[in-house]
Amino acid sequence: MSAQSHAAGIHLTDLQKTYNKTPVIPGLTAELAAGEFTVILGPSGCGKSTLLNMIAGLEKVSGGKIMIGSREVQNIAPKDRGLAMVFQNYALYPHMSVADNIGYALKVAGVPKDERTSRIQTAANVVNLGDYLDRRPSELSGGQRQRVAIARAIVREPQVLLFDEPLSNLDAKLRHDMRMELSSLHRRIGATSVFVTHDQVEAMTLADRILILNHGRIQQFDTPHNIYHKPANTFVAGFIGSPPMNLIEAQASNGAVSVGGVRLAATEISGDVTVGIRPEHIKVTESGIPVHVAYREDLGSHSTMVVEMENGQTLRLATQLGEPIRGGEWVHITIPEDKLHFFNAATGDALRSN
Amino acid sequence: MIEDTRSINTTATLLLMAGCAFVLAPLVFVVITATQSYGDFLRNNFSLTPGSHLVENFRQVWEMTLLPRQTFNSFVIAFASAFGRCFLAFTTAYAVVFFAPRYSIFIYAAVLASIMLPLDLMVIPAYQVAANVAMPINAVANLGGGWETLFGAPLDLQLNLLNTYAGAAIPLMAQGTGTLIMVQYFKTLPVDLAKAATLDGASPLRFMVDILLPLSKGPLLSLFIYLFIGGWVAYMWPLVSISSPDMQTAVVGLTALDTGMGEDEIPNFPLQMAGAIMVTVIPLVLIALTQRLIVRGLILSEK
Repeated sequence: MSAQSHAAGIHLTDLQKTYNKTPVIPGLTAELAAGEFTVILGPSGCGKSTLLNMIAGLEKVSGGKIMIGSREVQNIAPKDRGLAMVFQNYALYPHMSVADNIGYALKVAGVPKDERTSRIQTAANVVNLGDYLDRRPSELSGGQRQRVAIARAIVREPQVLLFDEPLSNLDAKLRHDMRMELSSLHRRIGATSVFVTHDQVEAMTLADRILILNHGRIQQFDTPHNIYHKPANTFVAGFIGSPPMNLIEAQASNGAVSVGGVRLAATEISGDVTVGIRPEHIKVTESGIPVHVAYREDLGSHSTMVVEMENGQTLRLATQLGEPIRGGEWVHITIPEDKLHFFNAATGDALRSN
Repeated sequence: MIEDTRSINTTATLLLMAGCAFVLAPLVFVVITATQSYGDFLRNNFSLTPGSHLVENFRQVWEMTLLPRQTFNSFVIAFASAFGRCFLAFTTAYAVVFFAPRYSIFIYAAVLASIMLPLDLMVIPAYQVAANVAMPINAVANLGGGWETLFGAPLDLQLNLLNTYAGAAIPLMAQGTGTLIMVQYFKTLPVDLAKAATLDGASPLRFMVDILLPLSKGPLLSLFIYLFIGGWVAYMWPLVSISSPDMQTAVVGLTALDTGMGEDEIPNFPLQMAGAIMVTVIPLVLIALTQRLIVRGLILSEK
């Protein structure tokens, strides 16, 4: 089922959504390329599901334009937009067999029985459910139900596939397997995919590009690599990464930035600045800044610590396992200058990213 | 405190048996009386020894009274009113839950009002309306003499539903308990079902018929049985709205069953009891037949 030719880009132009005069999305412009896998990531209540529902046509648009391919769709019925959606709680029709679930859209569209049967079989084979067509959803496991939902979405050969937190009902292992399946499925089908989640691991692993949303505004729309290494502002810096990036209020003067008298790095800027450093970039060394280990967690593959500098500033850091450090001890840390991020202390926007 | 399950079990069993005896004793009395002949009954009064006239009594009820015809009437009226109420409950609940219109609060208010003002309280206005269904239309049209100034005479449409199945069944439908039950049921369904169906291209009507109706089979069937029995045993309204005996319902008919001729004559109690059994049998059979369906429907619709 190669639908590469089907894929269509999505252009959102000044898209707005207002509930009872409260703007949820105040005006959003973005361009999702054809065949691209975009993940919309944000905390709950940031408007990501609203955005997805507006693209799907399940919610009315308060203002702005949605283009799918070359068609303006914001006033078109959902079924005519050439898209399909996978829901968080599967939303399978409980009284229908797997085959009927997958084929319902075709039945409604009046596709002849023979063609329907063969397309259902093809779609079920794509998600490895070819042998389960006669089962009821209640007889399937969570992962299988989600695969039925995916088959139901791809059977119509949509230009755009929408995913509304489809993995959050699955347990950790299954979620990992489904991530791999979704990724390879996307490569095979090639439909433009929009995937909403609050899970940054899903976002980092699945996305071609991540759109980070907060309070209905785009914080950053970039590749996972750039999101991680070049966060556009303190929100993105603090949202991505586990444990999240340390954000320190610091002062820059006389060509150097320092926090509480401790010099961190050379800089040309001056005045108040927010300095960011990822926990995994801080090294425990023989000499350097003395810190007191306030809390330590051993996670097997690595350990995380909360340390306190002499001036009271706390930092999170992650080390490879094997550092023989106990809680309560004093150690020395080095913060590599080239790993520092600088943000405007007032606006939170990135000043310089190394 | 140590739980002695055996003594708890014994006590519970004894209590249940006492309850059963209490509930079943009158029924036993009914059945035994129905087996006696009128003659035996006159001689022995009520007795606990079963007689041999059960079949004879049934035959007499079947051949000599209007009860078979009235049982049929009951069936039609109970079926129509239960069906109508289920239909209204299903469609109203669908509108309230899935469309949440601004005026849904008024729908709710109307539903509650219909529960708090049962038909028994409104017998007289209901009777007036049934006697002429067009009466409210007439009243509105003639408000302040409007119709008369326009057309020269007051509007006077006539449509009498007394003594008809429709007249007996339709007022019984105007009661909203079913709506509340279906609203609660619909709220347990995943909200994404409607979204999925929308994206699959199903119109709201199609979603209702293809998805919602099959999913509601269990609750609707239980509701139907419950309302059917309610319609079957309804007494007040059929008594008021139907005056001709051959349109009357079985429950009303029972009370008129051979109550004796004069002041002093003793009613034919065995015959009445046989009639009561016949009238009870149909709802019983209905429950027996559908019990498994109801249970299966409930289990199926849970997933």
